[in-house]
Amino acid sequence: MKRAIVVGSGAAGSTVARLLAKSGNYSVLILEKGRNYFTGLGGPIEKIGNLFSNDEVGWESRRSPIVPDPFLEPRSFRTSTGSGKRTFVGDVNGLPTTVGGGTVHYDAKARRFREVDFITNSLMGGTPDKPAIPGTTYSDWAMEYRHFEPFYAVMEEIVGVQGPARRDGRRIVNPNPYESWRSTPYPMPPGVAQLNSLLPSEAADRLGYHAAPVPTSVNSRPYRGRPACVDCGFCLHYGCPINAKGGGVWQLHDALSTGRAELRSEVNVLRVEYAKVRDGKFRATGVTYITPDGRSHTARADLVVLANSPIEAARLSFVSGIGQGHPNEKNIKSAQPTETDPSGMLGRNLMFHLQTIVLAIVNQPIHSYRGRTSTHTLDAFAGAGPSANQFNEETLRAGILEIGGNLNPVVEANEVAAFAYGEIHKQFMKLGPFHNHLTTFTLQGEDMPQITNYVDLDPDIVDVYGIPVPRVTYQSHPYELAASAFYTPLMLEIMETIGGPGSAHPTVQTLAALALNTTLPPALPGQIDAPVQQILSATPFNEIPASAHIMGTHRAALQPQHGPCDPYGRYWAFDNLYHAGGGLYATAPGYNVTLTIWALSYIVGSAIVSGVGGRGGYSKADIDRDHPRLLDVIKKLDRDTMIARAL
Amino acid sequence: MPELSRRDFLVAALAMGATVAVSPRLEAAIRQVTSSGSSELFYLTPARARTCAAICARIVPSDPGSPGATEAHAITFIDRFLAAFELPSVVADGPAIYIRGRFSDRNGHAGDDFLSGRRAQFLPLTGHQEMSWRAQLYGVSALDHPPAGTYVSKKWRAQIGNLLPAPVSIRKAYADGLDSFDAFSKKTFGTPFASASSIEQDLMLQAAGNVVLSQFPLPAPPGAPDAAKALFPLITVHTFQAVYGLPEYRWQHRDAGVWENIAWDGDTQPEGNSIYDSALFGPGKGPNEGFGDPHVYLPHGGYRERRPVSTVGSGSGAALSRKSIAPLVKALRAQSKAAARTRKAMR
Repeated sequence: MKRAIVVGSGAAGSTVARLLAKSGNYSVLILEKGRNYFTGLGGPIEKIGNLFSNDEVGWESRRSPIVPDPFLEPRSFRTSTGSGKRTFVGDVNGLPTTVGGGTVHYDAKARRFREVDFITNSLMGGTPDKPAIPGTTYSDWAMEYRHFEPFYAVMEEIVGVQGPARRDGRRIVNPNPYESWRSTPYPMPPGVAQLNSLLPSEAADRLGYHAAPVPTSVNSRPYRGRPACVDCGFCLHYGCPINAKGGGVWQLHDALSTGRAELRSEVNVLRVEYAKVRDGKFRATGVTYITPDGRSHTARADLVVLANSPIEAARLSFVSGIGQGHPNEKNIKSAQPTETDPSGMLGRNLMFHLQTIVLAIVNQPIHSYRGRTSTHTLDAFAGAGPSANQFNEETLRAGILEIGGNLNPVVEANEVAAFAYGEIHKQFMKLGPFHNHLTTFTLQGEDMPQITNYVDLDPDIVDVYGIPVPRVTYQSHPYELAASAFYTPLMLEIMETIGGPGSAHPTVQTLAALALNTTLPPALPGQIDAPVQQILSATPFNEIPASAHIMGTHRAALQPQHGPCDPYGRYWAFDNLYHAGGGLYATAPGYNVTLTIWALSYIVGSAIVSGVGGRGGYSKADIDRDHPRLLDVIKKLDRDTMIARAL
Repeated sequence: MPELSRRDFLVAALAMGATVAVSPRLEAAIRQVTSSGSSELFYLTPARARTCAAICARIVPSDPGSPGATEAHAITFIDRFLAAFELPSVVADGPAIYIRGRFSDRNGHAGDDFLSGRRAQFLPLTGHQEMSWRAQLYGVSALDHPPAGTYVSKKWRAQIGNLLPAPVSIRKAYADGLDSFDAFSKKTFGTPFASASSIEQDLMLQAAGNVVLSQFPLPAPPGAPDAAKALFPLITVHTFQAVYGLPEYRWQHRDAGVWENIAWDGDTQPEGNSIYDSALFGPGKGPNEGFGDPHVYLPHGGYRERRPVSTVGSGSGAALSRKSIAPLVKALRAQSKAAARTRKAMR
């Protein structure tokens, strides 16, 4: 049996680990930097416990115990090479470090891309060497929707997604008209709809749009041994105390249940060990990691998968001598190939979604604080589609509109304190503008890939373990700023249309609708305790994204000159070193990132277990030829799924 | 600006028709909290606790039928947070930073997992988490004595204070800040902070940086100490955490009535708001029709609402008017404009 090491236990790492362990050909060691807040993983599923609760002080107002501590593990930031070494040190879009990763506290929206989203560059007339949008590295994906579709489907079933598309005879009926075709229904129907999602959705419908229940990896029915959601109201930012939220940890549980996987938490991987083998090729031989007491250990492996987020995987590569950890800044607009990274683009094309927020306060109490974060989305602003023949390049591409949202009272009190004090503050809390009357739109904004947006190693700063910290150099492209500006008035119009005569809720009306652009970290005082706030107070307003949607750095491409990884996530110069996760994204269509990360990771895992890949370059025909072997993995390892039956 | 006397303020305040005396009820409550015992305080001295409780009581005041920071025992929350690493084992089973899940006894769970008798349960911290929280509470010196088995790179340690900001001790911020408020009060009004009138207290908080109070018709007294200014944002956040957060963080089994007052359910697990009922719809029936896989997994059941999540006006909470939220809209517009300015600058 071969030995594999997977670095990171989040959405991507758990997916790959599960497939490797289930294949029977690998024993898998999963290394996780964060803590394990679950008990009983790998045992009977109904006995799995956790240490989560509906605790706003600990999980939202204080720095959450699962997010990286910017004091111990800072990152640095600047907008361009011209702004000096850095303009900020602290939290730069850090993702949770914990067993289960970001899927412990996410709000679990599980959205697919559409057909057009994989091929937008060529639909706009671009080529791999001449991107359609100037000043970008805009590109098609290495695979298309028809390649992804079965992997979306299998992941929806493995994770447990509730959603509106259902089977009617032989047809799949999807109430969301903006989506592409699908071969299976959702395993579970949508759960309870919420007013703070329903009201704007209904207003949107009256304006001619079509909002729909949002596919969400939260159980609406008991599913695969876990209970149905009770709509407790503490979803985004909170671990689920009853295990109704789907996430990486349940695949980790599957992996551990095989008896061929081992999880080590609270270990920090220092470097990838590798050797030169032949023809300028390299082979990973294992990793060296450090335990909290500072002792280092080397674990040998036949295969290494870096699934520790786009930024951390780039950082780990750089400190291991893979790629350019300190690229030549004078030449930053060009790729800088090395022996270990022939693309010269490892760490480049870093993307975050530009999120535009519109909020509305309505007159009636609508219990914004109950239920999931949002129950509906509207895709009208994601650009023309879903099929190529419906595409036009004049329609700006932003992304989906998430409908819902609320602030819990401790956070609300901090916001209200900006304009009210004492008795008046108390009266406002009683009125509850943010916990009881709020609804919001979060418009995901497709972020253009730019070679000058990248992660490298900070030249000076190290973390508590002594490892150089990642430095992010990033600024928005005019495209996403223009899209945000274009759609904001349309979002406001929908909010202004809420309720009133002729609606399903005639007593409800919008009192105020406002646009906020908030990819920003908490701007008002007090969301975290003071010493950390002091670090954050250096933040130039709105410069540092806090979207938690992190993509790029390891673009999967057909040819080495177009991205650091092959279509199956392998580093081109290596036989056996892979990235799994959002790093492989070629572009950043405006959908929540996790379901596509899952599908990509299933593709990476199935390529490994089926022996697909390993070429020095690929044609589109190669992808088509390899595809059935990937599908065989679904049929073999996930045969108890609707998609396996359909294939 | 000439230093204003206590008398000047009283005259000015009386001219405004304001109440100048501390309400007897509040006085009594503060006395009760602080005299109930020095033994119940783990970090603050009785004098500091009095000042602290008085500030909290201005941030979330108490009214008849509407409890505030005093009734919510904000002082207990703050004192035990400051003493998070020093609480006796009969009070806390570990560092009092994160309450340990999963459930209280308020929502159909037998027993309170967070607080059993008078002993609260907390998440154990890793060595690195403990060091970081100790650094926040005690300052940079905590980094030189990391918990056993906790590695700290020398290079990282050397960066603190230059490349990385050094943590400022929250305990010291409280001690110095509370002493400063008291000294400021004695100097300006001739009386300890806790026995100053509510208007005098507000003026001192305004002087310490309360931006909302800066619209107060009276000028703030000059010479607010820096330590008081440093404490104000901290104590504000902590008061909100204490008043609106889980009562177990202040060693109470029940909320003091604040949650009901703001129409907020608090924690709701494990019952939650919607109750899944397996008997409501059969497999493939009603909302389950067309979902799942008849060969493997066929959904069944549906939801009843324990509390309304999608019904207008059937729950608790107040209706709003445009007038009632005018200050809020103004503040949000300012934020929105700032965002627009930044966006423009970025272009």
